[in-house]
Parts: sequence; structure tokens; C-alpha cells
Amino acid sequence: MIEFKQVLKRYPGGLDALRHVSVYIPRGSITFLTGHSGAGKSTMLKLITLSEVATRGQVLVNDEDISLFRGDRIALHRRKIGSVFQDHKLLSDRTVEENVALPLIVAGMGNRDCARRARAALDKVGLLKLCKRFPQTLSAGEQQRVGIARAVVGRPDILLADEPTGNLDPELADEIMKLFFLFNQHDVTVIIATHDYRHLNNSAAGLLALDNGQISGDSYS
Amino acid sequence: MKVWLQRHLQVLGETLVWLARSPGSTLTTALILGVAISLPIMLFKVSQSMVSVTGELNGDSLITVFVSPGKPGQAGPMEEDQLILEIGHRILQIPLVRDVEYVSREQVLKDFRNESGLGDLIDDLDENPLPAMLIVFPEKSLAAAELSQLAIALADLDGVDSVSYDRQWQERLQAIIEVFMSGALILASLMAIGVVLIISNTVRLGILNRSQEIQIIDQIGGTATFIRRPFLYFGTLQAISGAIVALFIAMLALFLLARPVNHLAGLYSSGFRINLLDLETCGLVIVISALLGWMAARFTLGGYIRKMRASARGK
Repeated sequence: MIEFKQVLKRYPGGLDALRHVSVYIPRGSITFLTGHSGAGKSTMLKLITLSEVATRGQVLVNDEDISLFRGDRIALHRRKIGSVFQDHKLLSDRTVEENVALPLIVAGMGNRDCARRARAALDKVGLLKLCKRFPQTLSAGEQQRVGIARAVVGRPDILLADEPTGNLDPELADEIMKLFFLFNQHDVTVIIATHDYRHLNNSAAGLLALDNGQISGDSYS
Repeated sequence: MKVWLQRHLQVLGETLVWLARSPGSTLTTALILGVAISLPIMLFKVSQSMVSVTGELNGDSLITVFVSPGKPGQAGPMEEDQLILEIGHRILQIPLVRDVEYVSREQVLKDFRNESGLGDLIDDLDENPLPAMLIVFPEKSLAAAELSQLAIALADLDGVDSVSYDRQWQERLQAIIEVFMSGALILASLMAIGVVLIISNTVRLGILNRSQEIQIIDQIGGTATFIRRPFLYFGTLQAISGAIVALFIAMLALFLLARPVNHLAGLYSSGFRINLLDLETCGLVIVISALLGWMAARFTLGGYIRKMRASARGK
């Protein structure tokens, strides 16, 4: 479903974030991407969302070489992916509901459907009662759940999370992880880049370990 | 279609709120744009008013045709009159001529006596030295160049000795109008560039303020068109607000100018009047300004999105 073939990612200045990485992530799996800071976890996620492009090699999603995508094709590709960020990336001048509805508005859905689906997504993460609040009035854990609701509202094929529990206490982190496993049960491919070793021994999840831009452990191979 | 319209109305509403949230900067931009746009409008209107004066002059332009059927007094009075009338008929066949009036030698002498104050001297003359003439009334809509061509054509007619008309004055006025018109055009072009730069700069500031929003929308699958939309409304609305201010400034200035100018023109028995702004001009100014605003926003955003995506792609 997601395949990296001999991917090299070199940033301007000559830093190799990924060096000849080849991995295969099956459809409907949940995968932890782990490794120390600078190992290349975020770069792998960015290559999947086309926020970055591989310097060499191929990244295939559903058997398509996404590095060939241009213009609006990139936008359409991103609509199939839900992204959760460590710093939430919520718009402070919009309500929780408006933030969650944003991917649907971008996709051209009507106002009534947007509101209905945004509320359903907020209900799933347990924040429906806060839908008219503004993000800055919420706790870090609540903001992260809003971020997750926004990531899943468009019913994506792939859900990517970059250090989603990085700023949360263990109890909240567990709650957030449960949500990812819940979405994975709906056939969503989930990839979580994390430092949090407490979750890595979950037998239901695959594991990709990165070290210095190279795969050092792969539970799929 | 319904969703598309809904989305546009929503963005329009959000953009109006965006503009209203910073009234100081919105008003300042509108005033700067207003001053810039009002200058060419005023110059155009003054030039237009002058064009109407040339129309008035052309309408009053007369070409005097002096006829030489023979040496004055050589032909008999009946014979001479007939020849002149025949030339008059030929002149009437010319399409640019509205009417021809015959003035006999006696009438010319009489008029000369009355206007010159040399009555006694003229009475001492043995015979009338003044020729008969034809006064030609050209069509009212003739431009100075056409009038000049008509005069040449009349001078070439058989039996015509010479023609005279106030050509120099007309040509000078025409030249002045052309200078005004060219000035207005150059000024309008420069101001258009100015408007584009001002709006481009305002949009750039808007981009800086909303860069996080742009990046998030880009990340969640927003197309370039979607990202651009609020900024296109922003640029267009800014330009329209500038155009409205410009129309107020121009209207006020022309109104204040009209009275003294009209009074001055009246003293010179001229029908020159400063034209105030009509609905067509107002509409044109708003449409052109809106287009400039749209263009400025389009190019600024286009550049920003290209740069943002290129930098993400490591270029």
C-alpha cells in the first residue's frame, strides 16, 4: 500500500535524512515509526504527504509513484491522508467545529454536510460539547483530539501522526493512542512516528525503526 | 453550483470581516488608492470637457470663400452674381458642407463700413474694391483635420480666389487636448502600476498574517485556487474601496473647479463647461480598479504558493 523503494532524501546543505530506505507498509496496518531525533521519522511522513520529495528512489502509494504528482493532483492526494501534528496546527480564529470541518470545506462539501460530519468526528474523540469553543481555550490533550478529529473527518485511507503524544502526560497519551487503534479498526492505515516506547510493544502494531536515516528494524520484513 | 456559490459568499463574508477587523489599515489603503486613482480621472474629465469645446468651435466654424470670377468690376453685376451662385451650388454638393450663404460686394462694403469706422474714407472711393464672398457652414461634427481638408478642397475649386478660417486656433486647441489626453493616459498607466504595487504589498502583508492558515490548508489538500480565493476577494475589495474614494475625491474636486472655470469661460463667451462624473465613468473606474486589484492579488499569491511549494520540494 505504501512502499519506499531505495529512497534517498537529501536536504539543501547536503544532510541525508533518509539513505536508501526500502520498506513496505501494508494496507489497513498500524505502524509505529521510531528512532532518535533526526533519525528520519518526520521526513518519511513528509514524503508520504508530498510535503517533501525524494531526492532519489520512489515512494509508492496504492502503486502510484507520488513523486510524479504535480499541482492539484498533490492536493487530491493529500485529501486521502489525515495528518496529526505534535503542535496540533489549529487555526486560533476558528471554532473547534470549523477547524475540524476545514478538510471537508477544502474538498468542496456543502455547509450542512460539513457541520454534520465535523460533529460526528468530534463525538468520536469525545469533544462534541466543546465544538463552539476556540482552540486556545482547550487543554493540550483536547487540542490534540481536535487535531485527530480534523485528520479523520474526511475518512482518509491513511492517517499519519507525527509525535502525537509528545506534549501529553502518559494518561492522555494512552487515550490518544486508543483513538488511533480505533480508527485502524475501520481499515485506515495508521503510521505513528513516536518516541514513546511504552506503546511499541503492542503486538497489534508493526514497527519500523530508523537510525541515522536507515532502517534498523522492520517487523514487516 | 449551490455549494460553489455558498463557498464564494462565505469567503466574501469572511473577507469583509477581515477588512473590518483592521479598519485603520483598510481605510489608509483605500485613501492612498483613492488619491492615486482620482488624478487620472480628473485629468480625463478636464480633457473631455475640452473636447466638447472643440465641438462647439467646429460648430461655429465658418469658411469664407473669396471668389474671383474676373477682375472686380470687369464682369457685369448680373454675370458676376450668376458665377458666384454657380460656385455656391458646387460647394453645396460637397458632403462636409451644411450650408452656403452668399454675401454680395455691396453687403461686404456695408459691413466693412459699419465695423471698421472708416465710413468717410470708404465714401471717397470711386468704386467698391471689396469682393463678393461665400460663407460656407461645415457640418457640426467636423474635427479640425477634416475642416482643414475641406478648406483645401474649397480653395481648389475653379473661380475661388482664396479661403480663410480660424484654423490655427483650432489646431492649437486640438494639440493642447492631445497633450492633456496623452498626459492622462500616461498618468493612468503609472497609477495603474501604483495601484497594483500597493495592493500587492497589502496582500503580501495579509499572506504573512495568514501564513499558518495557508500552510495548513495546503497540507490538508487545498488547491491553489482554494488558497488564493480569499486573497483575490481581499485585493478586489481593497481596489473597489479605493475606486469609490477616488470617485468621491474627483467629484468633489471637479465640483469645486466647475464654478470658477465656468465663470471664466463665460467671460470669454465660451461654452466651455467642466463635465462632472457620469454613471458610465464611475462604473468603468470601479471595474478597472477591481480588475487591477484582482490581478495584483493573483500574481502575489501565485508567486507565494509557487515559492512555498518549491521550498517544500527542496528547490
